Amino acid sequence: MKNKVRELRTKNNITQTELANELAVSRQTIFAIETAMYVPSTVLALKIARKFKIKVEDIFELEKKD
Amino acid sequence: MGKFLLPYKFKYWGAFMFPLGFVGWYAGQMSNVIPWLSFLNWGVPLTPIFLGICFFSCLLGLLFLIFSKEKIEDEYVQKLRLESFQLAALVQIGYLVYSFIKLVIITKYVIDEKEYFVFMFLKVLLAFWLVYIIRFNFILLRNKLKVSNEK
Repeated sequence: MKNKVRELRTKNNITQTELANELAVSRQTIFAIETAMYVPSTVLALKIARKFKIKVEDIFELEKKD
Repeated sequence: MGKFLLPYKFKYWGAFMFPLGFVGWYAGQMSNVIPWLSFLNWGVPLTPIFLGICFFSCLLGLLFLIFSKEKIEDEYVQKLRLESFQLAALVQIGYLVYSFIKLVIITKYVIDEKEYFVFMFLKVLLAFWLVYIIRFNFILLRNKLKVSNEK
């Protein structure tokens, strides 16, 4: 699954630490999501979408292998 | 999974108790063999108590290391925890099978069975805990190092 978390974060000028603090997760989790090592839960995906004020589908995108 | 875990501060207790208990237990065992460790042999009743305290401190320390939360115990850490438990369980089964094969084929029951079984199950238990600790902390540390290079 592809995601645009890093792209959105840099566009909004937010550091990984700031985003992690706002979502109440560790910085490692943000890093793992951004590098596609980890697919977040629905709750966390919704929190991320709410933070950037866009829809979940606009952040996360299914790939052929999914 | 988080509700079965101990608070984060127990990790420090584990990191303190496990190595200290292990060194004490090992030194106590070796005190009969290595002359300069003979100061641990205070007498017949004291040495087993000392060994017992060290051994259970070592086991309890390991337990604290495994079952204590991370500073931020989020869903990613829980996923890593679960994966590490799965790997540890697989290694444990493999090690158990290997130990039985070794007992039946290689040693052909020549050794004292009761003692061997006790020691074998202890090793199998330790293998599970050690594999879990090593795998879980290795991934966390690797990610921490990667993250520290990021902006």
